[in-house]
Amino acid sequence: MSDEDPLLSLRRRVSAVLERLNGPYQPRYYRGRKVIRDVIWGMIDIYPHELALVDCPLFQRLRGISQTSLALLTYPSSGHSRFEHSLGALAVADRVLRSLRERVEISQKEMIEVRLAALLHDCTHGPLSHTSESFYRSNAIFARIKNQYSELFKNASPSEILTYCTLTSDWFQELWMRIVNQYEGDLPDVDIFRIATMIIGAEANSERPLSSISPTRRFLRQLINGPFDVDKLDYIARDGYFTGLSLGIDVERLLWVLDTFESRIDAVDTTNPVFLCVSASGATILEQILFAKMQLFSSIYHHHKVRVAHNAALRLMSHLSDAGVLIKGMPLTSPETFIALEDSDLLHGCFAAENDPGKSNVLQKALTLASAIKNRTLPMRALVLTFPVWGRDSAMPEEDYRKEWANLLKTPGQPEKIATQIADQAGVDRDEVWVDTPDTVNLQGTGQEGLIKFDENTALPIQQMFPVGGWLSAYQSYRMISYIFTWGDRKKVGLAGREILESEYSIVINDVALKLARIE
Amino acid sequence: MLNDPKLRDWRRQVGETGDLADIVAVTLSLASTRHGVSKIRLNDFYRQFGRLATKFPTLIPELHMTSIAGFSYSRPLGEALEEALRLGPDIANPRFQFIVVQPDDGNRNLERIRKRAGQDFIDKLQPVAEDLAAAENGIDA
Repeated sequence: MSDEDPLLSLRRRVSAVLERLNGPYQPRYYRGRKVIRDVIWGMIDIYPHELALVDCPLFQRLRGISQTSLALLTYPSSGHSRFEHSLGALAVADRVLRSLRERVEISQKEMIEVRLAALLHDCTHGPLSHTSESFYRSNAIFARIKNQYSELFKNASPSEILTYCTLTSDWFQELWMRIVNQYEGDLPDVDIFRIATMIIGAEANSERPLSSISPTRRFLRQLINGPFDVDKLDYIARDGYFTGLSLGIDVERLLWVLDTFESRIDAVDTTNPVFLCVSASGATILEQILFAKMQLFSSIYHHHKVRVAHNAALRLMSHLSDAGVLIKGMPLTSPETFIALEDSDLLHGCFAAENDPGKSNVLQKALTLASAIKNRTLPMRALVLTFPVWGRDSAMPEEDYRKEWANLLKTPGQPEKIATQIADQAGVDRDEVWVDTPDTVNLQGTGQEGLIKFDENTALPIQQMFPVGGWLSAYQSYRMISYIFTWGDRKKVGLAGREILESEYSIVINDVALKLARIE
Repeated sequence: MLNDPKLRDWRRQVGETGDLADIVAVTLSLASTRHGVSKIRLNDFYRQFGRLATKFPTLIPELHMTSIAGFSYSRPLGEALEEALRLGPDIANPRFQFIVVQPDDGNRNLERIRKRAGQDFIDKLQPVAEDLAAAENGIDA
């Protein structure tokens, strides 16, 4: 393993990819602001220096990345991209800042920084959004960075780490200086490292202490990465609109009740943290956000077609990587490759294998999967494992079997082993049975960090007022779904799955698991 | 090489003993089965684990605790709790927000995790559970 600082190493590699992707990019000069019409927020006001960044190939690439990844196969109208979402986040940031400014002093420089952080927060998202992130997140470089800079990246996801590396790269710094030189005003004081720090949800920056965010300005960081940040407010409204789901969040009301709260740990200490909060009359908005997030999980992220497409895309990337395929001249084994790719590069690419017969077989599997995703000829459900299926009697489900199953899924390599056992039992090809492991629902952050202010001295986390923990517990017990998919004979695989779970793992499931899979 | 076997998945907050979700599930189960503490208020859970992480730094990873308006919180711990809820503990009595592990459930949790992670993993967390139980019972540990 190289002794080079992992953060510097990744940043250097990211910079090289940006150079390759964007070339010697000269930002265009704009004489004034422009407005862009958006279906969710109406007119979005964009400043000249922001337009110069929007023009950049790195940002334009976001037009080719679906916001909700392969949910498009289930919700055909959800063809919206990360590009629109990024502009939407900027629109929300603009409104929130204007509203907050009536209650707390925010400088022009801070306004510019928060707006830029909103605009750029997703600029390194890879093809198929979080699906590609699920693929490259296990790359050792992220663990090494997190180990070495544990405080700085404590809350950061791999794509956020890539965004941090992008904004702090030589290539981006040079671009920013070119933009700054074109315009006057507060731009020279804007700190790109501070913007990158906001995006990863950190405050103290051990790498560049001068770019740290003071606890007294924590509420600004929370606008970008917090319990009700501009990202959430846009994606809930946008994903709801384009999927057709009713995910109402009363943003107008939120703007009215948005406030800050100084947590006085020590009255003498002048660096008491100042949090973003809502006043007591606006507590309902935080409830709406929590409900909307739960609905997103149950209706979109855990939908069986979305899950199977996600699994197919992960396998596709894995096969392409194993086959040594280069896309745009770069291997999928390097996470920085993904900041140069769009959805079509994965799904519609003409891949060429190395001159190795062993690898051409893997490439053939990849091509089959790409075709299956494009044509929506994906594996079907053979078993659906959720609340009423645990135990022999669906009228009295036994929670312990669900916990046994959750424990099995947590064991590395176990889902693949179960899939193989089921395939062998059913007499189908081993590649034709997939066991799905759903993600955990994430509500605690909003529940515990979302603050409700009663007066200048009193504020409570939403968790203290509403049963967020109870909802989460109930969701894990009743709504969490795991699937077994197959391309083979569904009934045969379903029955084999049931038999293997009972004989090999003492997990008893009833007929409902087959019925929910539409197998009689 | 894509995966370095020496390093775990970055999402897993790893102490010497293993994943934070497993640490949470085992500690709460041991506190219930061996020390009679089957219920812990959610706020106390965050506060106590923050304290235990300082006291047992080799057993519990850095939690990066923050205090919000007097309440303790840690995002890694919050996420680990969400995962742990699938494995064993429940949040009962939504009004008061208690995390509950009944002794029978605790024994089953320990059995499952023993199969997956080994007895040694559970044994190492015994002093953590003991300390947690003593603090909950108002005894100086």
